[in-house]
Amino acid sequence: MKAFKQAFQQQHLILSLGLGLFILLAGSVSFTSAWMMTIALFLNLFFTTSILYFLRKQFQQDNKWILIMIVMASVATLMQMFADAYLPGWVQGIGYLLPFIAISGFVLARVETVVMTDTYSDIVWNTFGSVVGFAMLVLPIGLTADLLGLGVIQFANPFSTSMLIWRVEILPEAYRLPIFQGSHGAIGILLLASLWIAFVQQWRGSPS
Amino acid sequence: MAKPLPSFMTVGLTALTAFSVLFGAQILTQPIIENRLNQVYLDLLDLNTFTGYTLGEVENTTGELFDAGVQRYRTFGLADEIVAVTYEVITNGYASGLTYQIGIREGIIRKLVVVAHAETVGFGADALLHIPDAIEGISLTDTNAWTAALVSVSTGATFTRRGIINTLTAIQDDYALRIGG
Repeated sequence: MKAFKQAFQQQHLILSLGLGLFILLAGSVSFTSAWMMTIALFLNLFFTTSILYFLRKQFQQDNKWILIMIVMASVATLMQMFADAYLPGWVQGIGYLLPFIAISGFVLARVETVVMTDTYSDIVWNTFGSVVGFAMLVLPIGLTADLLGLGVIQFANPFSTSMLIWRVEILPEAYRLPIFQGSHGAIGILLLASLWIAFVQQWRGSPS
Repeated sequence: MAKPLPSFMTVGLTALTAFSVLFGAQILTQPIIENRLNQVYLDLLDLNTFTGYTLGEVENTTGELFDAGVQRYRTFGLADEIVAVTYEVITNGYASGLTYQIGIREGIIRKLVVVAHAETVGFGADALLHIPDAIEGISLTDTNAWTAALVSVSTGATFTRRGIINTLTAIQDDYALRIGG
């Protein structure tokens, strides 16, 4: 559980990558894509760390990073292939964020660290923590963007590129705020991220 | 603890394993993706199957067609004659990036699918909800009919309508040339 707590509080994708990712998310995130990014991150981390954990006995100074990169790139490609075939709505929901999540430098470095130092159960808890921390930031962002920008809460069907599983209209058109959609939405993302960081600092009793 | 394999062997075996898994995944998933891709064209042309049809490649446009915003087209033949064409369009409405696909078979507009747009809610965006139904089933050569259909559902969305009309005019000329009309 210590591994979960640590990853949840500070070792997840958004907090570690900082403002650069907020801007990227601002232009593209919705409630649907936030869920789908969370699933992508979980699958990527889980499979990558699991494979590398069982491969780590073969790590040597001159082959470790090559092995890590082969495994990470292969897992990401495999996920993309199966998602393209069976979950086209999921691929559409994530768009260009899937390769970004899969091969970001942060994930690469984090995977190397946990594989080399943790037990397998800690690796799994670490993955859960990281994904839950990620989800707790991107889900409110996506929900806020959908709710205030589009006036709806909706969720796309991952098996289809053109169907919604559900859609509930909350705000009438006159009350919708286009500023929470597209690149203008960056300010909303920054506010939410700031609140999250402040919350984590308060919780831990020290700067994050 | 067992001694690790030589470094080059570990890397080689890992790469070979990864290649084999990815190759197997491609064999498994590629037909599914191709079927789905064809399903898009079946829907655009209002067909159940392509049995008997000769499917052309997706081609990039050039010249006037490209200038009008038509990016790609694909032809479909029966008995060595082109009988249907699909087009992928990116044009400008009130905003740029109005993207749609259209299928024309035997001279009839079978389906128009709006893929993406940045039109204004309440104006162009609302018109785009009704435009596909309005022009389906109309002969492409009947300019008055599809223009009137577009006008009837796009009040307050002149720029959006104009973007579609401009591209449809270019498509009309291109389709006539391709089927030898």
